[in-house]
Amino acid sequence: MNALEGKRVLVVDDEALIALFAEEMLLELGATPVGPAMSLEAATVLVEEGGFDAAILDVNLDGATSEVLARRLISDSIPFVIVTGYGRVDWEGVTAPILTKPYDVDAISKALGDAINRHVKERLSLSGLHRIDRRP
Amino acid sequence: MRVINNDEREADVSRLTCLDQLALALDCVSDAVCIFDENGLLRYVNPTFTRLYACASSDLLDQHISRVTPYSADEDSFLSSSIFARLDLEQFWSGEWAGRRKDASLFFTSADIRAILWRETRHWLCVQRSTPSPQWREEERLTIATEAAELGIWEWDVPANTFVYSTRARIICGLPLTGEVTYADVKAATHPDDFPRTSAQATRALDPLLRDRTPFEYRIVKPDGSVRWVRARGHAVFTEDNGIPHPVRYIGMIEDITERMSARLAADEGARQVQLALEAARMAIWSADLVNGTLKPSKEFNQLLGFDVDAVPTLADVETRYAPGALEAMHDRWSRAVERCASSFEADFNIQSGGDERWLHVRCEIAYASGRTPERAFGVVMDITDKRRAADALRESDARFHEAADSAPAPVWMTNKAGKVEFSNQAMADFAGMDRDAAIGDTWLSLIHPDDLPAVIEARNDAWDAGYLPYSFEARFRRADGAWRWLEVNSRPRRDADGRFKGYAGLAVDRTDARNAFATLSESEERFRLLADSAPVMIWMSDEQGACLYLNAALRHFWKVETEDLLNFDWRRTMHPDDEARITAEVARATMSARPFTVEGRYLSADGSYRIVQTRGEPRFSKSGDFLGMIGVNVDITEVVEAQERQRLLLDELNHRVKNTLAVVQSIGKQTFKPDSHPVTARDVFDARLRALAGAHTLLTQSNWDNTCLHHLVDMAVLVCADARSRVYVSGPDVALTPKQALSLALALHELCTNAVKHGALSNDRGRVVLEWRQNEKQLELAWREQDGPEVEPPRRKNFGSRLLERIVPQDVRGRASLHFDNVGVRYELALPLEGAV
Repeated sequence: MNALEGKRVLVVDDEALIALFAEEMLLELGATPVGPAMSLEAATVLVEEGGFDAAILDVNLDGATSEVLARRLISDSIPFVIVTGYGRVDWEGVTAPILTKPYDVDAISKALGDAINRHVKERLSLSGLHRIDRRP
Repeated sequence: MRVINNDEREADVSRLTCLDQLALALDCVSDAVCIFDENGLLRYVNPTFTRLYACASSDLLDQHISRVTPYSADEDSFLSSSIFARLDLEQFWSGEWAGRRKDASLFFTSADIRAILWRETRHWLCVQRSTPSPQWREEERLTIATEAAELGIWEWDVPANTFVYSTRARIICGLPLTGEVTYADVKAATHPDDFPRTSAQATRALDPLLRDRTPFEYRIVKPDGSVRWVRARGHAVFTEDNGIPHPVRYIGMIEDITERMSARLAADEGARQVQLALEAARMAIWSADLVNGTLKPSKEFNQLLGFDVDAVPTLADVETRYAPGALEAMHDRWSRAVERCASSFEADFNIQSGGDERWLHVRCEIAYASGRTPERAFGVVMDITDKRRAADALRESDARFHEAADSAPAPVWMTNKAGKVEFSNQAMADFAGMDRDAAIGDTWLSLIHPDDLPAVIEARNDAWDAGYLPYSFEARFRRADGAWRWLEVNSRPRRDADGRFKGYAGLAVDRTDARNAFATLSESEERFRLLADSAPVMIWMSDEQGACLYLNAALRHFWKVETEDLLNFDWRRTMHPDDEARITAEVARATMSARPFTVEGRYLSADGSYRIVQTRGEPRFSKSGDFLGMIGVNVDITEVVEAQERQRLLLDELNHRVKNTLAVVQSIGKQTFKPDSHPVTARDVFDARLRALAGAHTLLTQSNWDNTCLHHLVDMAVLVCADARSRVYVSGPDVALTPKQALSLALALHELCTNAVKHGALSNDRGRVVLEWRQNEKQLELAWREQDGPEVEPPRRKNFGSRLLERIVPQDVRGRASLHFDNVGVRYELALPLEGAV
């Protein structure tokens, strides 16, 4: 089953066309796009409001970076993927699947799926369930 | 007569004093005085002595001293007795002396015995005073006497092991003035280091076979911790039990000799020297009757010349002892002395004594008979063999030195006490180009370069003034061929066997070549420094430990360090803390292994900023291959690194933009190629949209991705309207747009134009479009109005165009937009903030 089915996904990209593109692909994958937020301020407001299960973060938001958003999402335990044209992200301690522009529907599906799965595992591990499950 | 005491230590054999005068003086002395010779024979006794010993002087004279003392049974044992041994050693003895009268009764005196020179030989002058004997201790007289003498009296009752100490003895020993004295008290009062000795002395004194009465000296430790030297003498009283003697009492005196001791300790040294001198002299006396050829020898004289001790050799006998040639030499000198009527005569001669050659020195007084005929001679003869041998050995070693010096390739010489060269070897003569005989004296000074001479003289004088120290200097000397050569001269004092200064011995080493090499080196080093200082790069040199040896001007300027401060300058302190460990490790590794290295790091420059410096070091090696340290270049690569960083940022930006644009294109493509769209039409639409985007990019590139003029953008956008673009009426002020705004507006205008051409006002031949904008403070208000076109039908569903215009563009430019499908025509209004654009 598609991991994104029925999930609400926040789109953060300062390029409206790309945000639109992301939204269309999320719809194709059965997810509900939230946003898009095209500036750091707008995105911060939406993150504060919550009400989404995952996020797609563009690194460059009209000159600013979305690092604070990433950290906020980590502390809020919301899985996310990072979208960048640079092909790399140097945010210390931030680990998330990375989508390199331009990306397609398969790439966004896999990256978001990874982010959600990783997140689930971490939560299991934190609660100790993960270990118990593995006990013979 | 001279008394040899600690004040006068010279033995002056030439002074002879009349016995009678001495005797006359001594006869008046109230103390008992006797003089005995080295064989122990009494030569003089004064009246007090005869009274004390209850003998007539004729009974005593020429008798052996053992007659009047119990110290020895016979003559020989006296000579080996402890008193005589002491006398022989110290020339002085003072102590309790036991006397023996003719009737064999014993008594005690306090005796001082000193050596005197009398009739040219050593005699002993013995002065005795009656001393209170222990047997008189009950008498008040004794107490008074001992008190006056500050003598303490002690008595040890051996069987009872009890002690009686007089008050003075208690004071001397630091014992309580009243109460019993125990063995433990006595022991406690004795210095721990000396107790074994005093204890042993007591054991010897109490031994019936020894009955030792030798005075003994030891230290007392007083209750206040002070240490005093005391001198004690005692004798044991024995009783016989069935013929076996055993001690019952040990009685004695004690005195504090601390003050005397310190004086004596100082004098001991002198006394030993006198003794050594006398022993070394090995003198004998003689007198000769030159008329009869008879000789009056002494025992020692006979011993020296190898005759029997008691023999009376004639002068002719003596002559047989001379070594070959010695007799003739002696006669020669004697004749000359007599010719001059010399009153004294002195000569060295060698004799054959039992196959042994010995050297003797003779000194004598000559008595002349009427006129010039020598009648008598008397004097001393001394064995000087050892001295002669030492001198010979010295001469021999000098000769050997000369021989060795001649084979030395370097100049070698010796000076005399006055500093004049008295020997120079062949190498020195060769150097100076003169005969060896000419190379002595002060000749060498004339060879020294005038500029160097003052320093040489000074070095020499300093060494002389400081007590003939070794000294060395380097100076230019003129060689025989006229060339100036740098010689390193090392001079050491020469001393004879007795340590007396004899002059200097010197050796010169030619340092010219080494100095030239050094000069060349410093010259090349100077050249290196000049070059390095003018070099625009930073050059440094370190030693094998990694310490900084040299920084060129550029590097000194970088760190603002003066040459004279270089030794105190630690470049390591300028390293950026984050780079320190890495740089230090790299440099240390390279230095340890003497390998080249390259390391980059940040260093604090003199202007207070950190500069990125690339350091390249190469090991330096001496000619013999020893690692000397590193030499290297520092290059300030801050600008390069910063440029690289900028380039990286630019590339990142470019990457970002390209990929963003691609994503935009991708998005446009997705919007354009919908499942329900006609493939051919869609492709044309896609191409047109890409062209619009590309056009915007062209404008942006022209303005270097800076602000773009709205008019330019509009001019380009309406191109898609082809001929109909004349029916697009554009009006508005010049407005600058950001790249993002330009791109969005380009896409928006493109959609509006293509839609107008396809479906709107420009699709017929009379419709018009009015594109107006105005700047309202910091806001751009733009309106697109179509009129006179075909009747407008709102689209059945929102296509990409409407979504772009209504949502995407306003989002992109952070503005507001409205799209109206009025009957008269499409109307689009957009308001967006102008971010500081002009």
